[in-house]
Amino acid sequence: MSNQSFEHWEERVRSTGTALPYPPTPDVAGAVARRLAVEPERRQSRRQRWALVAGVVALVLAGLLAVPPVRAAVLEFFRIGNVRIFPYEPTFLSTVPASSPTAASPLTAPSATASGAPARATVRSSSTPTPTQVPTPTPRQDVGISLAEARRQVDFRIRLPAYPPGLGPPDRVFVERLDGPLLVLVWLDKQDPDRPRFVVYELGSRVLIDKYTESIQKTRETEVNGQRAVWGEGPHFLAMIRGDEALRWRRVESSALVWTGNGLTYRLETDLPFAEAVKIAESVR
Amino acid sequence: MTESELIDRARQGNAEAWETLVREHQQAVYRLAYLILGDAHEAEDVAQEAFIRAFRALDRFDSERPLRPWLLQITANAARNQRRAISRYLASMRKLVQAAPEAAPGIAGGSLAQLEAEVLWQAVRRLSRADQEIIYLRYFLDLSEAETVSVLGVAPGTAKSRLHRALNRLRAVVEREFPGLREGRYE
Repeated sequence: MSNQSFEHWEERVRSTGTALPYPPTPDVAGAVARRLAVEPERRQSRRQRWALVAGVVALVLAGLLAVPPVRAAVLEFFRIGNVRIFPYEPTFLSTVPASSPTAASPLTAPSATASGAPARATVRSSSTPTPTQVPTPTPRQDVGISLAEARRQVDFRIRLPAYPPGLGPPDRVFVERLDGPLLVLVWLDKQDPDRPRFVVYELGSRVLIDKYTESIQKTRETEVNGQRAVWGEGPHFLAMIRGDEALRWRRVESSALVWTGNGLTYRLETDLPFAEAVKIAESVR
Repeated sequence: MTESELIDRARQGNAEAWETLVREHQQAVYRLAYLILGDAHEAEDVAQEAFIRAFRALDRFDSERPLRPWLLQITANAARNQRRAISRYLASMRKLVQAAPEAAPGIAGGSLAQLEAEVLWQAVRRLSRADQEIIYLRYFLDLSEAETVSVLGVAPGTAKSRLHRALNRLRAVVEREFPGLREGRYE
């Protein structure tokens, strides 16, 4: 492209772009002033901040807080390794498709017919290509890959839990490509092979997952092998991030423990009680 | 009162000073959020969020620098976070469940220039996130080169070459998929 024609193009883009009609600018200044009047300072301590978030959510749910909750923007999150944990209000509980048995599979989207669709629908016009359709078969059908193959695909050393005693290797192994490799290890319930007994996620260093929890009050800090960890009960959503997008969303019914170790972030998804979950996590070495 | 004086006052907790600054920059902030998100309500929320964050981070801001590029940096950040927030996902799920047809983007009425701008915006959204943002800043919001460099936080030469490449990629998209736009042929 010649210099002259480039300048011509540049000018064309500018004169066209600046003609874009925008919605009228709202009264941001007024809204900001009102919000700052209610909440002028940011608390510094993480514990206090956490309590503040829980308190705000509780007040909002109770309808007591005068300032309406911000529709879209998220103010606070708690980070552990590469997992960010956000509280949110469960205003859509009744409309989210109920979890089916297949929803227990770590790789199914919440609704079989909508798999992949939510990710497309969230972005009205996107430059990113359509996300790959998420397979929706049950764990029994979706066999995943071998552990040996997974070792070739991830850029970190795979560690396996050694608890409960006699556990054995995972029944299913998957590697998902986000900004880095995400390893998913599934141990099935021998009595009911459609239900995972527990699932371990191993996040490569560039992988990012956002977790949204409805029950921030049931989330607490703990420790795994002396490292900070977070245990969250109750249903939550996971957003698998790739680039700037939530590539895929999952609704998870069970509880989860997130911890760091060996330079990685780990996540254990299970219906087992907290004490058991910690034992499993501590055995991943 | 100059901008740095207002910033100094705001830093000391003067609410009116901050409100004045917000009014001065809210249009640019809102419009950048709107360009990135494509939704008026979300843009409004993100704009508020950007000014709240900026206010709380004022201690770290050198009041001798112009405020706008810094605000736009915060805005782009907040808008990008919003893109992957759960509210978007839940809204789309609700739409699926209620079988509500997605509102068609309005290219109704308006002048030819506005129509072309809407089409160009569609073309821009085919590009990478980084290309989109640099084009919004420099050509849609018409920031100066210096301001654009400031928002991006890179060396001027780097900004210039990124801009150059983004425009070339935009041109390729337009020639491939929006032929009517190529030489202003929407008539």
